Amino acid sequence: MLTLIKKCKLSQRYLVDEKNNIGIAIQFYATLSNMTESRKTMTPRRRFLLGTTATIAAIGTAAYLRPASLSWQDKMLRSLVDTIVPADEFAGALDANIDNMAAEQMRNKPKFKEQVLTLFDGIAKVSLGQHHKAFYKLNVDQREELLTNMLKHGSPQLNRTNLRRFRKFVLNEFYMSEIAHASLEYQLPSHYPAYQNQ
Amino acid sequence: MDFDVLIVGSGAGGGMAALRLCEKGFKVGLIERGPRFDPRKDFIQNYADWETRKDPLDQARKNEQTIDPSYRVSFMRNNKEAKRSPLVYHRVHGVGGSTLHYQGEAHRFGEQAFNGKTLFNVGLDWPINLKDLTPYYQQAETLLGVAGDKDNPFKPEREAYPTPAHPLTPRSIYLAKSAKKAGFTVLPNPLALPSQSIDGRTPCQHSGGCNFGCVFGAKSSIDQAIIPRAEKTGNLSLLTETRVTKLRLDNKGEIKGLICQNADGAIELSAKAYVLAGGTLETPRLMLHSKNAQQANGYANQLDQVGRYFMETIITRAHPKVNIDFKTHRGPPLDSRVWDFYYPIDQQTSGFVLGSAGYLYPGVGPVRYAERTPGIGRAHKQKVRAGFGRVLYLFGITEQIPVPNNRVFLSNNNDNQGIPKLNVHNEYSKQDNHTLEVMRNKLKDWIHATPGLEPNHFGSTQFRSSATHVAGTCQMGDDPASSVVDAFGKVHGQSNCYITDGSVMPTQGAGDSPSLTIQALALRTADKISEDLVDS
Repeated sequence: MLTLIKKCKLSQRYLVDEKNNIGIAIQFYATLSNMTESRKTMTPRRRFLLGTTATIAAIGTAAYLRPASLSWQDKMLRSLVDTIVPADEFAGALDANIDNMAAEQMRNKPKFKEQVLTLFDGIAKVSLGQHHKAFYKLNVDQREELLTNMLKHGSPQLNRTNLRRFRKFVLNEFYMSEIAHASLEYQLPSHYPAYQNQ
Repeated sequence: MDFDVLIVGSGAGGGMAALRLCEKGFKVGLIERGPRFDPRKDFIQNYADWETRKDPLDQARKNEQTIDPSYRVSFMRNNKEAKRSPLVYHRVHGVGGSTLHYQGEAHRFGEQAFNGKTLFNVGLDWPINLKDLTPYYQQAETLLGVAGDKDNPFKPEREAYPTPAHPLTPRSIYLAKSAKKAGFTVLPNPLALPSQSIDGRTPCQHSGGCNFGCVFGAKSSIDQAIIPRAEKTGNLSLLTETRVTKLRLDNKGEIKGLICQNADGAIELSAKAYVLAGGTLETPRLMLHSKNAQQANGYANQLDQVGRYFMETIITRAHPKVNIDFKTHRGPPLDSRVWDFYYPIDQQTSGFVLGSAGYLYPGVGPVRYAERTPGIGRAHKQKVRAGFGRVLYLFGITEQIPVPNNRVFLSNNNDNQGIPKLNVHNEYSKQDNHTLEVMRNKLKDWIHATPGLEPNHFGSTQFRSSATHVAGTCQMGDDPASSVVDAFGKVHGQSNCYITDGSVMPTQGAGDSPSLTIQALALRTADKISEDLVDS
């Protein structure tokens, strides 16, 4: 499960996974505990106060990082991926896990992340301007229309370019998947029985 | 190392000659500038992302170091009539050479291909005829396990092929009906894609991926069908990633050794006999670049014949829109052909063949096809499903009339290893252009006769030259004044040098593919080398 968190210090958004959230919380608790440990000369009352503070802080951090609900970027990502290759009588991009692949890519490639977040902002603005709703709240016809228009003559140019790049990413990942191949009655040669049996 | 024979190039001609000589007990050094590929690791179709991978078989073309394009560009600038772009030459550096990317077409040339001048006043005569080559064709076909149907009314009578013909693909079956309406016949294409296992290899799996190297090792490329046999003799030394940069000549103008370059630096190798099999461009390049006082114009070029009679294949092609699900990504890509026009119609029209292909090249694989299909969403997804596997390619292919002024010669510009590149001078003759036009009209007839096909784009090699099959440049002939090698592939006036690649071919077989003929000629030349070595 993926969540978007804010790192207050840098005022930037980072994508992290749930395991990391718990890890960060534990680390934070351990750091504060060590602080108390090193001050053995403290009065019991002071030690109690510090220990309590550390515990509350750790719980608070964990709660803050908890993936209780999807952020708007998560929803945007899923919705965008689903709009580009929706499920019909055959599976779509979400079934092939392309949203998670995109999130992974955003974690590993800062430039890609920047392009996607810029695209999100661009789409959000157009959606709010045209429909007074977030993109992910639009119906499928509205979403398709919005993206089709943006692909053809999106303004600024950056929106169009970023959408083309993201479309390429989704199509690449999806049409490389076995799910997509099944819908095309195509099989990679390396999946032929004769290949497996060699 | 002590060699009886050193062979430069491990493609169709070099590989086949190596096998024959090894089997006869000679110690052979087979020198290949590229690597030996592992079909299970190196070929792109082992991987899901094959469409976006760097294809190792395409690197020689992409990093063009043979042809100097500036010659063509400057020629065009100074000649308003000259409209042809620099040659795009498709070949592979690697053990197996261009058989690594060929699609297995294994054609015996017809009689008229050897005697075109005498029979039809078209092209040139060879110093040998079909009868001379037939036993070698048969031997090569057996080694390759060629799959085919012997009943082809347009070809000389023959025995059964080593393995049965592949069943025609749905595409060919459909197009055969319309061809009949247009007045011609679609027939199974003989292919070095064995339909039954030979040598314990997997038979052809109809994956359509011949172009990228067969991941099953089923295609009878030289590295799969020939090199392992040669290695079994214990007489073969395969020297990979080693480039022959120059022939070292003695004071009689004979070859004394080969100067080679590999990862360890420059080395020199020598043998009793030498076989040049680097292909139609690299062989004359090496000869022209190797000079001394006795061979001031380049090796064996006193009469200025090396590099002349260069020929490309002339192709017209159509990409009709198709409304039928042919599943063109399955089956041998070139499973059928039309030979009705194989013989020259008149002196203005060379013989040619027609065909259809169902390639699965990166441009039409699932990823690229989806990318190229415009739009997004539900309609896009449906369009991709509806169109995938329906990309069809119809073509007509013929030979170029050999003329001495179409030639290759050394450029003043060097490649990245300091060897002069080649200038390629090649113009289509009136007859070439006329045949192109006739082929285009036949293709149009075929498309119009086929329900579900819409004429779309017609292209040709007339202005954008692009060839896998090139020939000539070290032509075979009886007269040293107009040829470079004799009827056995031995270089005129030389005691120890032979050529076994497409460069020796005086004509190109009216649109048939050259690899089987190159291989048959190589076996014949190897027999001659064997005789000469025994005699000496």
